[in-house]
Amino acid sequence: MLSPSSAIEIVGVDKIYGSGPTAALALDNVSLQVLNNEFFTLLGPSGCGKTTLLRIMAGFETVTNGDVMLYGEKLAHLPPDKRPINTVFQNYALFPHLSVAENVAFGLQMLGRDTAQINKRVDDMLALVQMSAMAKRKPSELSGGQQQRVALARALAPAPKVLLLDEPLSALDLKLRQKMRSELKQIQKETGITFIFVTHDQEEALSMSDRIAVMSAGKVQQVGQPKEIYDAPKTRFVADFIGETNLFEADVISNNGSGLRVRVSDAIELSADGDAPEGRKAFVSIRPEHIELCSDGDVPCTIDELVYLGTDTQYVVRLKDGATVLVRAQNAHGARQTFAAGQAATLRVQDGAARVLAD
Amino acid sequence: MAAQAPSSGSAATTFAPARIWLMMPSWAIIGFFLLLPVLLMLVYSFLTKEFRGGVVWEFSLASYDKFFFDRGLFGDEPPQIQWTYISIFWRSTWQAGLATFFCLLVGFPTAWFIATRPARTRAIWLFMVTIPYWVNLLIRTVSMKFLIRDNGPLNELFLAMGLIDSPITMINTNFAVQLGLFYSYLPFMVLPIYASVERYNFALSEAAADLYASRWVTMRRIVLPVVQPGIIAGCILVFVPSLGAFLAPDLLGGAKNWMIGSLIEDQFKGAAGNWPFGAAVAMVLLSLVLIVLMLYARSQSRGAR
Repeated sequence: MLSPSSAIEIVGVDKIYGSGPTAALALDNVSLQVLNNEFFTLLGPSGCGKTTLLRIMAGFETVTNGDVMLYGEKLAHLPPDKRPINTVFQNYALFPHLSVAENVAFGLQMLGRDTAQINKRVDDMLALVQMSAMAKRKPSELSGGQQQRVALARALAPAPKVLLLDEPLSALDLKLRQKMRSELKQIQKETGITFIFVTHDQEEALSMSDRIAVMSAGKVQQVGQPKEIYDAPKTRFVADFIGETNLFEADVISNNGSGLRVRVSDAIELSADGDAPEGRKAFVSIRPEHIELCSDGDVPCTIDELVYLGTDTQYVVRLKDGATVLVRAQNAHGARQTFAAGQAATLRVQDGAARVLAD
Repeated sequence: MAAQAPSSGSAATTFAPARIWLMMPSWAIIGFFLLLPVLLMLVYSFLTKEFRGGVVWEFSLASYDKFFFDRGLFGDEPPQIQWTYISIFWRSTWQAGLATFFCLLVGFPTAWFIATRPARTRAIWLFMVTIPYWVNLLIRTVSMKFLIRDNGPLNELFLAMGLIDSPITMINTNFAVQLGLFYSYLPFMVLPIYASVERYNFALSEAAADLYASRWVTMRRIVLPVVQPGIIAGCILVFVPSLGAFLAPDLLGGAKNWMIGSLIEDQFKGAAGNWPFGAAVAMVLLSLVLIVLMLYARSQSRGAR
């Protein structure tokens, strides 16, 4: 019933906090499969249930309905200290009275490993996160980034079957965060441990993950590889949450099974991917970078505003019916015509850029 | 205390004149109400006693001699160790230690309970802990005496329940003194421990459980070391006043169960009327407390290195 490569399987999990009229549904029939050796990300805004799901996997919360399985075995009856799963906590939760090395050794000591083995493993882990020089320091003597590394080493030391990471980068500044992203990914590859990473930062999710589950309001909206999530969002929420997009309410003119024709903004007809019944209304997403601003396009518009972003320029343009559209153009040398605010121009939508969304 | 000494060098460089003026009021208070009286007692302890209280300004080591040595009724026999006062000290230390232990035993779970309540009910629990302090200690101790006497409500209750056949004698025993100390100083244990548990980051307990530590191991290896400053503060706040307590031993313990506080009180207010000797006993007590605190400070500074 299970594929052997599945590290964690979540089957129809509900989580309800409280009871009676104040009960809150934190997870609503969530089912997921996390593969072995995968860098899997739970992505969503705060309050979407991603942290609750992580805490259920760690054993800090119980499920109301459903099952969580680790390599085919049910976890429900196991308390956190009996699960071969470790966690990197959001604010690291390093033991303040223990040194860096003692923090990393803690899990191994609890597992009853012998001292020589523990010392070797602690050395290896500190080397892995480049903290060997700080072994004797107390957590209070470390910077945020260093504490982050120690927390990672501490959680990796017992060689867990699955490592849970609860927004571990959110307390770091931008530069450090970007550096840690590639390091985390590197460490995941080196150790071959399944990582389940929780974040609200879509850039983080896109850059590190093998697969992403986008969550909203206690539900899984879409699971897929970063490119899939970005290029082919299934729902309005996913299209809007991941990156920037233009959402239009469109009429589905035809659906021949392989492609659709939709009418956007009363006048513009486009071919689109996705699925929606003929003659109905549906939402269509078009990414700003898939729209071209030119002088010989199909759709007339005027430029309201332009924002220079270094690598790109972002235009806010207005269509005849008053709808605004975001357009993003790369600032390559002499590649494209540039436009000024207030100028009239035309738009051309690239083929395959429009996606019909499920809701 | 001693632990802070190494850092005082850098603090000294920031002593601008304005800061010294700002510190004057607290220095004045400490000087006038703490150092001066202690100095006065130190001087008194080396003076000669006047009949029915007071001192004669004449240097004498008689008080310390009386504390440590027995030279017979007329002071002309060869000196022997005077066990009377040492045994009072010993009993006091023992009683204070026991009271500290029981306060810790009850105070820690209480503090833990309060600190883990929702924020809005914590204040109510804390208020309830401090309620006894709205009544004077003397009155509370006297009422304790009425509670535990032979035909008091406690014995009546036990008799009515059939637990005992005849009243248990509780008044004028070590038990009564212990009860009095425990009751008087329990809040001093609860409040500092509460303060440190309230600041405790419970994510640390989750992290420990996540790293395969059982609840008991988490308590021993993580929680207790982290909240240790509160526990030690509570122990000092119970032990030190227990050591010098005189109301509980006087009112509940009777003449046989004297503690240091009763002995000192008797020298100044009671029948003995020997001020220099009272001062000398107080100095010995002060030395004892300072030694305990210094040992603690040294162990802390060693732990911090």
